[in-house]
Amino acid sequence: MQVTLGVPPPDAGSSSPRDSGRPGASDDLRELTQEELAEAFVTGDTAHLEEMYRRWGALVLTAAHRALGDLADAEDVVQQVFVSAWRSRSGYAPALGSLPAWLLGITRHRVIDRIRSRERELTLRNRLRSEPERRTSEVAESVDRLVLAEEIRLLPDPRGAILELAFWHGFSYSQIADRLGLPLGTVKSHARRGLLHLRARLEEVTS
Amino acid sequence: MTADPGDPGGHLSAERLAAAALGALGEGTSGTDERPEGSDDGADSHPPAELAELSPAERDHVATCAVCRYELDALVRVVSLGTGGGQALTELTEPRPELWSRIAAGISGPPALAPATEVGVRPRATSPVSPLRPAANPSAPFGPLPATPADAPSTAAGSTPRRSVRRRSRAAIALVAASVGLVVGVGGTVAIRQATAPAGQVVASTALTALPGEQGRGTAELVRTDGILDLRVSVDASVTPDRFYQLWLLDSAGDRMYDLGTLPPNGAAASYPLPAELAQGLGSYTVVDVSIEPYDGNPAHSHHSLVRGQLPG
Repeated sequence: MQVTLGVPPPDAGSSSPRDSGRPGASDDLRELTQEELAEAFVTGDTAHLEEMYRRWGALVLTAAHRALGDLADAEDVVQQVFVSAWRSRSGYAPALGSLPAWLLGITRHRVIDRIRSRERELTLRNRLRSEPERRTSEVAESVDRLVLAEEIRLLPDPRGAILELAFWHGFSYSQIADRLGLPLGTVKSHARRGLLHLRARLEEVTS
Repeated sequence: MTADPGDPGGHLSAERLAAAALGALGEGTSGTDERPEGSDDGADSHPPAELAELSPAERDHVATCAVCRYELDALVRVVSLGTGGGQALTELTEPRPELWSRIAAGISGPPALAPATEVGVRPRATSPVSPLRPAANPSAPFGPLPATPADAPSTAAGSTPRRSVRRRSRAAIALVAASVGLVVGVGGTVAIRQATAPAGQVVASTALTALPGEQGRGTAELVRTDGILDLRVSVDASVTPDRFYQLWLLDSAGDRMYDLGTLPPNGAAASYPLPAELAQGLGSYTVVDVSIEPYDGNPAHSHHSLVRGQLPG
């Protein structure tokens, strides 16, 4: 494996200072915000892909594992997802959704592909007709659950907090209003708009 | 916008549909204050939860309008999938360390190589290099990290890239074990490499001399063992605790290179297998370069070379 780097020619005979071609503090990928990481990823750098894997590898693996029920299959999917993400990085537009949602969208497709090929195998083996469509939509639910959970987590407060309390903790609107010190109408409004946002995000991921 | 009172057949607004769908969260969240209790027409005294928020007129509309019903069903599905999602996020399956190496191998294959490295938008070589050159790091199985663990920066900012490097290198080690068929720990791999390295015949050698402004020297020997070339290198120089030495093989133009691995900090000789493409002959990659690298997690050459030497072509 060879790489092209802008290092001075060997016969240049001088050790060049570390000032060119190398970002300094911004090099710390862990410090990048999600938006910065997304932007950097599109320009094509495997280090950024690895950082994405560090942040969301477990999310993708979990989605695939829950959907497929088999860890080895799920690992195959994770590999496909990140390789596919890498190859199609120029097609990623941050405006269309968060990186984790995008990764989960790819995961969803790969999981469904895998289910279908399993179904085909079964059908061939048993000469039985199954219902791949229904099956895949059920299977994709576990992926969609994670898409939504991640989107809720990413929502800015107070909307994010309101949805977490309502969805994850079963709080009533008035309990949420008390807890967050917000007017009841505001809480309801955030909940509605948050729900519409989630619906739009899920649509993007699954389309 | 509620359904237009003058037009009972009008579609419900997104907000009304959202309000209705949120009713599916259950009694607690739907709230009693907004529920049109008194407006119940009696024919449907216990409407489904997702309809409870709606007025009878709205409910009638949804019952007959495919568009609104579709939207409402979609929103109800989101509510249903969204609840319990918190638990979904707290019990994630952590990937095994070797999974990244499979991905790295996948993205460094021929199809992805060209855009990733030839275009070279940014001077980095993270994964395209390390997965394919895992064995080239015998002296530092975790990359630069264990070389001077006690000296590594201990601030949060300093420790951050270290973990990143560590993970990448662990993945690389997994590949070594797989390719050599070794099922031994990292230490075992190192021991075997070092034990076998000294055998073989020296086919070429060069002194490594300091670049201007640097102090240090070393030697590099090309050793052939069973027809395969290794590079044996030792460098006599003192590196500060916050730096480490990295060994490179540059082509004569100086714009392409192989990352062969990290040098031991104590000046001990170490042996580095060459990439498969070079294992029979160096071609134009005849320049041995040792760089001084900070612990910044950046796998690219630091542009700061300590010593160099040229092997006969």
